[in-house]
Amino acid sequence: MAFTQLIVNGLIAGAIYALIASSFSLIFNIIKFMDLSPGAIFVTAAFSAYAFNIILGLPFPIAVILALIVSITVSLLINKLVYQPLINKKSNSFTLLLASFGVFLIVTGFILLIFGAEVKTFGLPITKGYEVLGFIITKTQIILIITSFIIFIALHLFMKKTKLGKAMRAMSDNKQVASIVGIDVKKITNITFILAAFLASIAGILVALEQNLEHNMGFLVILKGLTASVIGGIGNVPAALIGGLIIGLVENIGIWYLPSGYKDAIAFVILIIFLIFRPKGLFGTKTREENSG
Amino acid sequence: MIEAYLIHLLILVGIYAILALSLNLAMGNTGLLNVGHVAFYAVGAYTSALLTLNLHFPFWIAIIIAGIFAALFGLIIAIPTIRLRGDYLAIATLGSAIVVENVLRNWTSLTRGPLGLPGIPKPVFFGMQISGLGYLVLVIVFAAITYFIINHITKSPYGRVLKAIREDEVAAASLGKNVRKYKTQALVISAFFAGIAGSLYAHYISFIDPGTFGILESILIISMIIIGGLASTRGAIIGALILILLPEPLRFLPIPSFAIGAIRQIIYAALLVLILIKRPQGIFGEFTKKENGT
Amino acid sequence: MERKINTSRVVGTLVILIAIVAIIVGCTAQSGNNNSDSNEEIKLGWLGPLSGDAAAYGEPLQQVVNLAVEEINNNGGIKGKKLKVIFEDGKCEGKEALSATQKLINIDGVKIILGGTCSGETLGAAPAAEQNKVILFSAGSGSPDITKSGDYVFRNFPSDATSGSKVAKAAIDNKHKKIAILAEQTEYAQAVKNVFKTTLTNSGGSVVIDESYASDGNDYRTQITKIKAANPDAIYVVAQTPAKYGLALKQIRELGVNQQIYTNEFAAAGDILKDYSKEVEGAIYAVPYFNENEQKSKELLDKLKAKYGKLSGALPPVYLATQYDAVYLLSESIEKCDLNTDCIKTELYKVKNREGATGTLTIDQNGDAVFEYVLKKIVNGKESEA
Repeated sequence: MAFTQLIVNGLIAGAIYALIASSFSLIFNIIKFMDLSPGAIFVTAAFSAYAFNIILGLPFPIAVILALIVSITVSLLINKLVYQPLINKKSNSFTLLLASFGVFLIVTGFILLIFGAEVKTFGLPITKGYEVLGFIITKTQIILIITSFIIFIALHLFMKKTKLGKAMRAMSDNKQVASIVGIDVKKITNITFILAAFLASIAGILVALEQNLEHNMGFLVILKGLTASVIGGIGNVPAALIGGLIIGLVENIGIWYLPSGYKDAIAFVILIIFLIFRPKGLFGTKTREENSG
Repeated sequence: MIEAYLIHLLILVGIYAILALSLNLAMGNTGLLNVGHVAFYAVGAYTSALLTLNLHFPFWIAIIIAGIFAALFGLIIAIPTIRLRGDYLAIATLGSAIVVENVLRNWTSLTRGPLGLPGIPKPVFFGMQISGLGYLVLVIVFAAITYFIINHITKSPYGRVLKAIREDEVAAASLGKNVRKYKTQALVISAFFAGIAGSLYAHYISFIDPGTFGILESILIISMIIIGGLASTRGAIIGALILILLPEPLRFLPIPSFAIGAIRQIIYAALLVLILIKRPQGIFGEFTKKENGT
Repeated sequence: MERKINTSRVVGTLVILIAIVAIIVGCTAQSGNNNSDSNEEIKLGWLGPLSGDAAAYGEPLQQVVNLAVEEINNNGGIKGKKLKVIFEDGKCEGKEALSATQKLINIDGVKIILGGTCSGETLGAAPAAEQNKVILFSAGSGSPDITKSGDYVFRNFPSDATSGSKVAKAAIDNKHKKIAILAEQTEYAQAVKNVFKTTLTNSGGSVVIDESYASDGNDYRTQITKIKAANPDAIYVVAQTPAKYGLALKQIRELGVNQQIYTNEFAAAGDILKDYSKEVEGAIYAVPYFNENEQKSKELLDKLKAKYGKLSGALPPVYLATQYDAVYLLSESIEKCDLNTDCIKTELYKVKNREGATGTLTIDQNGDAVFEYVLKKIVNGKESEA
């Protein structure tokens, strides 16, 4: 019985990791760099939604839309002001990774400055969850899982069926050819960042509702999201979903057996194991990094 | 009175200079993107603290063993990860550092976990405790030794091989150099000195806990060598000076303090990002690591 | 290329020089202030977390101190001189606390420091205070390690050890013998938990499961699932902050775990009583004897509410009270001894049954506070006798 509860716990956590991992992979596909900005967007969206809904008193759906607008803007700005200049200078990938860390710290610093250090919550009513099939799950958690699920399906359909989605995939395969074929590289890049920001933002808002808001909340989440992306196969967006779920499940089932203080270490041990034995991940395609000189 | 305050700051500068110099050897000279350098620092600090607290070793022996243990740990990390390239090495080392912090926090029977290790003794020299100005001298001595050794390494033929590896691993390998061996050695030496710095830190502050050795420390050290200039030994020291001394005047400004913390973080990070965009070779650096065909 | 490098080197060196000059200027200006004002003011240093994770503590404590100082100064100050507090940020960590302490002692020239708040701060600052014969008086640090950290180190906040053992005995008395623990992985929470565990097992109880969580996580649900499966008589929950405590309570009740909760004084923090009143109902905990309705205690809380509008919900009221008492206690010592720290030290060791906002304080031979701990229970959303 407890086992089904663990699975559910794993799904709840995994859904969030999967959203972040997808965001990460989408960006990686387009700019071919690892970057930590989904973590910054995660925090920005959460606090924006809080600010609009709780501080300014706007109805929740409006707050969400406004939060999305803020986060997407921030994401586009990060790309324009930091990533594109670095890409244009042909910087190496570590430089961009490090710069994205810097950006993460700047965004987090501003959140701390604006909102202060006290932990915030949305203060949703607390009720015992629904008991079903031997596990307990609350309404908010159900919404979390369903929302993520819908988003993933929508994302998948978008990438597979729409023109934009195909353009994005074409660009990820080969940027030069894509631009020759007439794909507007700049436009697709921006749309990718918008989409990635959307995913990370929803994750942020869901976590803010289900748990709480702290200025540092994006840190572990992006690192684990990155791990999930690597496990699935970096750049493989559908696989990011699997990677996220795996991390969520292994974390929760893992600490059933291990001392629970080791929870965070689990994800990174998995990361190291994959990097050593299967860097391309479970479903990865060719990766540039380990092959080139 | 002012001197005591400045001495305190300079001691910190000295310790971080050793950290920056050691990381520079691995990252700047050899191109090993070790984001988890703080783990070596932690191993050194905890080793030295535990040896002196629990086994009553004298400081002088403990610090050397701390360096050796850190070096051994560097070897352990190197074996599986050294063949990873670029970002993959970066995130592997990042993950290792988080695992180390986790272990320090959970292995309570050894490390006392979050309770930390208080009361770490000061070094004793001919019956006298070393602190204050004496400790600054101690740190400067170790920093100078580190500087000379690392400088010597980088300017030697051995150092040139490291640089060749940084620039183009494939070419270096084709010239018959055992790339893996060189990279491992660079990481191990780098770890040794980080361990020394850890010991110096532990015996100065006299209290360490797992929280002291988080990823942000690594980022701070990386920022030092980036701002000072990758692969420049002088730059590492300058970077340490700048990043330790620059925020101190903020204390004297009448800004509400929680804002100071946030502003400090923003300034650090913005400085880092700006340097990366505008002048990635830092102040004294000589190059930017480029990659083939991005 | 040649010229470019030279320019940047010049820039770099300039930056360093500016930094050093700024520090020196700042220091001298500060020292200058010291000299000119020492006839008018008495300086008190303060060390606590004003930024970083524990910043939510620092601000309300700062308010309390300002209130106390204002009162003292309005009543003629100390022997006619105004009391002035210099606030420094310890960031809840040893290295920063030491830097802040160094600055307070060497630049500001204080002889007494009220702080740290976090135990890490106090432990980091203690050696410097001890060496310079500066009084370090903590109104909030509970680590048992502080007991032995110096002759000039005092506190009016009890060692963590007491809370844990009192609650453990309460559990046994209530016939709750099999306890499950959920504790945050911080110095404070683990220290309290360790004492709880030892006392419990020595009194015939047993810990059926000992779960913990790291401070930067917010999902304790699997730990709680494990606790549920262990089927304990009751649960002991210790968090580092009321915010985390509330989250733990929420997840515990959501997962349908309904056993009796034993905990620490966060159960009485304003935010908890407001946002989690249903979940915390019935929780039993121990606090240093602090009766909100008693004269001095109530007066303090009323004054704070009047001046600042509302009490921060981040801290249980007892921390505010100890901080307030500390300011008064220290200024009384200064009245007797001026700024002769050896004299103040002796005075502090003599403190016995002193009435204050916190209740009755006695300081023992280690500089620790001897407090009676009492059991409390949340009944109908308020703190009551257990």
